[in-house]
Amino acid sequence: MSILRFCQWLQNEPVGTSIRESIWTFPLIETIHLMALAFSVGIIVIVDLRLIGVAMKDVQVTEVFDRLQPLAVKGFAINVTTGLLLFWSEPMKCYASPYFRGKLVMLFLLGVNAFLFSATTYKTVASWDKAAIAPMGARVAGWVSLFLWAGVIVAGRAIAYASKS
Amino acid sequence: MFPFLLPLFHWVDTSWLSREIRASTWQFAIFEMIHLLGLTMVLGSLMVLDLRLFGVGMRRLRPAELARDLSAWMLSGLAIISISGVLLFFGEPMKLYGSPSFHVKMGLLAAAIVFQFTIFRAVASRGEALPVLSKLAGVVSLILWFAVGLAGRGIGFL
Repeated sequence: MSILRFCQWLQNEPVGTSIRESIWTFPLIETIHLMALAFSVGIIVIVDLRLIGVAMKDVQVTEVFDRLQPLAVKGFAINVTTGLLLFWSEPMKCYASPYFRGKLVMLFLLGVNAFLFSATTYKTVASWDKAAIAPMGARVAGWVSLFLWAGVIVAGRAIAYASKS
Repeated sequence: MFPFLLPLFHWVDTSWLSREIRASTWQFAIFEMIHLLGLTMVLGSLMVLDLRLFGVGMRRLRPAELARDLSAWMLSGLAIISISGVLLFFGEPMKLYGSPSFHVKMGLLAAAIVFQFTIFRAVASRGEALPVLSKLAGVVSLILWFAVGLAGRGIGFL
């Protein structure tokens, strides 16, 4: 089944239809999505700021990661859940939206960025744990994450704009 | 809703800046996105600090140290969100005048700012000496700021 066919099929599923046709369900899920965004991306931004060497410079990098990453992951799980429900309620609109596609690409790249960082530079964290300025690999990963998350937020907001016109 | 404020909203409505923003297709959208990015910065740094008051997250740092480390980010976020917020206000003053969500949001925002820079600051800097009070301050801070965010989203609905 092609992606388009899948979206057409999903569009007519009862769960998505009930979210789409209800007055309050969609705004409610969207609001939870937005609050979870402030929580998870807000915390990720703080971790990234440590990586690029501007916030909490006197705190060990592992300390920042060990304490904050589990929290950010929990918040992100709420984002994924509410995001899937929002997608379920309007798959055809998402399918047609370049912003939605861009958002998915950026989320994918964020995953790649996190994977590469944890598989390479973060392996040697013991040697730069206390350094105020992390090595180049860590700084790049931090900047990439900051820019991509900003892009995800902007693209996410734009999905709703595009539907008005 | 507050008739004595109506002249202010009218004045904004007829200003050059307001006409400029309304005439543009993209300006309002761009300010709104910047507003969201600022929100992430403010709520993110607040969240890390408030969670710390609960003994969650950055536990090895004292609350006062953490507050000092994060304050620059919270303040820059607050600056970004305020400037973009004023520009958004200029983009649709008369709609906002008629929006209950907007009036609630401004009330909550005033309360949140006053609370954050008086009681919260005093309590958080003595976090360990005042365990119960500092947890309470953390809860009130989170509730107030998230309520500001919720009311802000509400402007789109009511």
